[in-house]
Amino acid sequence: MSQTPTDRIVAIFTDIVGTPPINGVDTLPSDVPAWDSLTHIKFVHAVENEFDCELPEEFLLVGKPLRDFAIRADEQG
Amino acid sequence: MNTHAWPSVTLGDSLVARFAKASGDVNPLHVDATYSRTTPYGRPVVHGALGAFAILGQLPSRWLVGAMDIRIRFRQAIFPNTRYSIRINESENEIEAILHRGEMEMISMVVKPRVLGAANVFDKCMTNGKLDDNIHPLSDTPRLLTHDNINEVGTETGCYRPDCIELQNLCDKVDGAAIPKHWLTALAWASYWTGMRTPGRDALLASIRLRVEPGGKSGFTEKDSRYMVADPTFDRRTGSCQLNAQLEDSTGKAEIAIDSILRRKVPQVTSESLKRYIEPTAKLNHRRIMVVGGTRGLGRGLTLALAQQGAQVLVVHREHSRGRLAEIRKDLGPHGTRLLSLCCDATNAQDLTEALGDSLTLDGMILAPTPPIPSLPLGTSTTAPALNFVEQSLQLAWNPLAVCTERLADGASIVMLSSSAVEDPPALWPHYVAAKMALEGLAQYCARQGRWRVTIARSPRLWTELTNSATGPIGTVPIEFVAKQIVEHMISDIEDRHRDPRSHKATVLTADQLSPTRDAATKSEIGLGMLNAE
Repeated sequence: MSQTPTDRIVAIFTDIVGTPPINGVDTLPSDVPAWDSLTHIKFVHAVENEFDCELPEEFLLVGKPLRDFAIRADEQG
Repeated sequence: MNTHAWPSVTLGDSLVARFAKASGDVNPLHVDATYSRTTPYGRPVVHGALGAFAILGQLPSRWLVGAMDIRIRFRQAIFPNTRYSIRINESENEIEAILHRGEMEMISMVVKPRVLGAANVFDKCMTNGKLDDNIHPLSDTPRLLTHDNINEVGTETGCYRPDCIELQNLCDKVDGAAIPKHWLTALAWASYWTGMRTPGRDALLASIRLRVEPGGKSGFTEKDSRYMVADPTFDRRTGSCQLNAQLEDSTGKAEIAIDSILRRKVPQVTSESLKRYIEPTAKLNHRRIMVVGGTRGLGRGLTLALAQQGAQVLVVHREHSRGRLAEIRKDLGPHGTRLLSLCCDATNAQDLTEALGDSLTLDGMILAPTPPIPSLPLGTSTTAPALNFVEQSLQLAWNPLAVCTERLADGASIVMLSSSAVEDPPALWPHYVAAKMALEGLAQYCARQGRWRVTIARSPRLWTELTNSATGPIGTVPIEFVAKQIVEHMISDIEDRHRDPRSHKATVLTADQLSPTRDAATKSEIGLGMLNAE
């Protein structure tokens, strides 16, 4: 069975950060101490590679929950 | 799972200098105090690989043999002469070690046995290559790659000759005598390559993955190691750089994957860039205004803007900023004479008083200095550095105000630079928000005295050397626009100086008031546009 976009986002996040998102796709940067700007840039890059998309620039700033990435990446991918 | 005791480690300046020399990674971020002041860190940073040595030194020896897969994430910069702890969680299949300071994780490492013969992420880029036997001397100046030319870097090969004996000596210092030589060489090479070659000087190391196995190549001398680096993959928008490499020496080999970020060069405000926002006038002729912290970032923009409006500007700066002030003078051309240097420590009353010399009347004052801002979570282990930051920040405003109380004319305009962070506190900056709130309190006190017109300017996010993080200019406001808004406000205050200060309260310029409206701004005016326009 193929993975859903949210599953894929969670998997990418887990790979980059090293731990699964504490609140699943509702996880916010403020929930994860390790989610800093450097980690975020790596995460965005990995999402764009995985979904073969280019996220809007507002996604390059730390702040949005993982769910927003799943929705937008799925729309654009 | 076993959790081990938390040993502590402190890496001194001398260890950093020795690692730089032994590995060849003499990137100025690590070894040049002057250069590192121009970065968000404000002072030299310990090599991430040296931090990794310290972690490896604490692992039980059974994890330091055979074929291993080692993943290292560099989450925060670590600093010399600072005490860190190492927390270790060991299970049957892997060991995880984290170098941390209180609640903040700086470097994390996971080591687990490598399954030989498994699909190798490096193979596809290595099968066509051949290791190079030619010896290339270590670079002594870092390569200056930019977002425009990094894609021109292709596959590179060579012979890496670090000072292996010295690397081993350094490991001994951090209890790492058992670390295999080819592990040390691979980490030292990763540090060298990132800091000196790709991305080079403006690199930020994010992670290293090493897949190591013993068994050296016959014919290699003890000093030699050969490497081959595949074409780096670079994402222009994010500055993310990924490269894969292979390295072999006389004792083993390593496949190496490095993730790093190439920081953009921060453009400086110039008199020309300011003229696009505010026309030079003579509105501040014969006015004397002091700017504390006036040689870089927004302070530099304000210094230039005030001089362009005809003011004599007393720039309070430290010795290491003399060069910057000279640049600003040169940029102003014939108006450079409007700048007066007050080279002193603004936190020292006597120093500032002596620099001021004979009594001068001031028509205005801008308090713009901010010390480098470390990331510090709210926790017991970070209380001391956080409070130090608050004190230092406040001193940089308090002291000049205290010294100049009698020099400030009645009705003088005082601007204290606060930040939008007081309304929307960023993660890991509780000390910054506290310092700015304290500054705002001081501003309200001064306004209450009724002698001066006091303004709190809550600057929006700016792209400066101090904030040049991985996200660079994204979501920032041009410094020139903020400088224009503040200087126009000061001109209005000074023109109205004989009128009673209204309500004896400080005026607050909010981040919105200091930002161009979406409608008014052309795309090139905002940070996102700057990114596209490169």
